[in-house]
Amino acid sequence: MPELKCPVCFGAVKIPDDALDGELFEHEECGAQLELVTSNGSRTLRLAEEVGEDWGE
Amino acid sequence: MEVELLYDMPRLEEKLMIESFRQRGVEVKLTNVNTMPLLIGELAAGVALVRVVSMQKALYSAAIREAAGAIAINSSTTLMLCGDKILTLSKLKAQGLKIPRSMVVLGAESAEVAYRRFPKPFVDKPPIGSWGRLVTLVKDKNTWRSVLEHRQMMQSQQLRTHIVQEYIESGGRDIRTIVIGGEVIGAVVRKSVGDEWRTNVALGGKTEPIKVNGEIAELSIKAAKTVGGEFISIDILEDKSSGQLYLNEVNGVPEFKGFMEATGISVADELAKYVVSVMKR
Repeated sequence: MPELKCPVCFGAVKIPDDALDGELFEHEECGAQLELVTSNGSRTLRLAEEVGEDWGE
Repeated sequence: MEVELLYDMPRLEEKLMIESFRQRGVEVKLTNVNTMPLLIGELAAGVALVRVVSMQKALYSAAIREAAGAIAINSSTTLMLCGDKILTLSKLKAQGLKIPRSMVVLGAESAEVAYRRFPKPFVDKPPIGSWGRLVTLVKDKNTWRSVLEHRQMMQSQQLRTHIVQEYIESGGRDIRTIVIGGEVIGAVVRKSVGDEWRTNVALGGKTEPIKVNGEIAELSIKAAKTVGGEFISIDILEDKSSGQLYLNEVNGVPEFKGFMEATGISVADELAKYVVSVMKR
């Protein structure tokens, strides 16, 4: 399970191997809601967008 | 065979769908609509499964793929009708289906009239959104004034619009069914927890399986047909004292974690089976 750096607290975040681009993760250590970004084959985490007004089912 | 899965924020549901398709030998082309521009008229696959959390983005995604001749599940028309509760309720009512008495408030003066005309408590909600957001049980005038003030501060006209709705005393529960290809695959009852009156799973609501009786099945199928939905979840309220069923909401991009846990039904498998049958037509 690869580890990426949390952009908020710089701590390590474990990401499952089958994680998809855009998937959300909560960093247990600092509580940040993070989004997985895949670009040119590399993976990073960024702070996730807040819940949009039209989000839902 | 290939299916395109359009998404913006993959959840457990999308991962299960990918797995179910792959088990059937169907290749899944993943399109993150936040990172990939969508060319109008470009055909990515014969079937476009729209699993986008943002209602507006879902609607656009479906329309763009339909422009190229793809079958969107659900279609842009369905997503539009389900994504705006005023449109959903209006369509259901036009078909003669039972909905809670609902009034739409578009301006401050009409808010006063609606308050006078509706027995208290009543439910107030905006036409868009989900997971119980901004859904309020209005018991008195002070609460109503606060709701109006808060929503008036919002930028979007849709969030400044109110659906004032009769409160159905359902004992803190509602029924959720899932319809795939015109058939009800199962039903759960969602129960509110603690002092929360809303039953949404996103707010902690608990789900239990229930048997789908004829009345629930008929209502669900009619609701799905009314919006033209191929993969739809339907929320039904049952009046505790009269037993009358009311259609409350119809969802065009259904979530099913709670449903799946309660019933043991693999919704992703059922959907994959249906989509494969659509591709073979």
